[in-house]
Amino acid sequence: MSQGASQGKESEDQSRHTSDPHRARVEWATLLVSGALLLTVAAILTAAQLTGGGAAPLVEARVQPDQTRRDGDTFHVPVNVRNRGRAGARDVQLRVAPSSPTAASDESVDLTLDVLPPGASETAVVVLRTDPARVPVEARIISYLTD
Amino acid sequence: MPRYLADELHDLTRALGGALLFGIPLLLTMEVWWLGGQLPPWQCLGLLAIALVVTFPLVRSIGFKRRTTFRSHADQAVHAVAIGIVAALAVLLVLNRLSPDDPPAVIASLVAVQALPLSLGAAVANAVFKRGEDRHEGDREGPIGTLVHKLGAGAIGAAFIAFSAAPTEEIAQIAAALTYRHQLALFALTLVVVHAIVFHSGYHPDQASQAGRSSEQSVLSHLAETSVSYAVALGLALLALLLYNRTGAHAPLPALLTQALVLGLPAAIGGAAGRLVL
Repeated sequence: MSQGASQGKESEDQSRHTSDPHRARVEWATLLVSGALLLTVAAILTAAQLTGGGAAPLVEARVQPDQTRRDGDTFHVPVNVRNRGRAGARDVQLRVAPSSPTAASDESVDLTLDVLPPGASETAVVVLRTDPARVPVEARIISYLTD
Repeated sequence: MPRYLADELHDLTRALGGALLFGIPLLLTMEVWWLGGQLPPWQCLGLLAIALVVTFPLVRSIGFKRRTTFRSHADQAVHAVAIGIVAALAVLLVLNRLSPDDPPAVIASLVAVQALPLSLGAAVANAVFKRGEDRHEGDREGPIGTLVHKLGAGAIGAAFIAFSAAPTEEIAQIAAALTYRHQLALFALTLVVVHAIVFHSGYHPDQASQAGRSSEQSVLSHLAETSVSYAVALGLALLALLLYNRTGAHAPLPALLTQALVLGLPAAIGGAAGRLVL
């Protein structure tokens, strides 16, 4: 591109203003979409703040024995951990163990979830030697951090 | 496509490219994911407001539009933040960091935290990507030379990003959580984003020299170039993972490919930027 044409292109870009009516319609349309998206996100956050002010996490864990998978002598047992509260929880620690430990089934597994936002749930899988179909297994929340 | 519509799409694509180039490192950072789940809603709202305020002076001085009918630059600031939200939502969904089943407040918090850096990148896209007309690509090079130049520039950009992201834990963590559906979506998203950045942001030299070249030839040529560039980025991503010992060469092929696929997203975006900048 020649220097003169390049300079002309530069000045055209620096002014950046055009009065094309078609372009104006398209720009307004995209601006409305962008604005609506911003307002939607802001509205969701505002509603969450107004309805959950001062709330605390409410973390619960539930073993899912019907979805257990057997692998040789071990049982892979899913545990669903859910935060029903309106505030996030960090370093959620839980223990999975037979509800009535005996000499034959006294194992326990501790696990930690880093972050559990409000309303969110995670599924962890613990590996036990105890068959949850024979010996009931329970999950218990030990501790968690909150802001 | 009418010129006014093409110009608007080019501008928004350019903004998306700038957003992803700036924001992809934070999109792959677990501490930022956690932050989105921990911050109270009013702080996430504050981050959105800060994004709007900070992007306004940036779009006044740099921006991502070539021409606009608006006298002020407030429209570009709104667009920049909205593009940050869309980019964050798309990437986090594809990487399985978000799910459509998640509560709306959690989704809104996560994207609001990510939108700030992404919107800054969108706001300065004009400074990142050189205009196609100003680049003298292929003036004295034959077809082989042009191809080597294009692939080389893309490889440099891909390597720049891949080798900085490869040592992190997040790549393996993300890869372990991807289902086949997520992997396919990631593959498709990467191709679409790279193609859009290189050929639909208004800064590719071919867009300034379309005279005498059939549109079908252009489309096929561009698709081929996108595919080859992505393959180069994937190869560099895999090389980076192996060199940093983030995955052993003896690992199963699906595991290797999944991790390369994850790292391939930022690498391919870096390659696209290198393709336009260098």
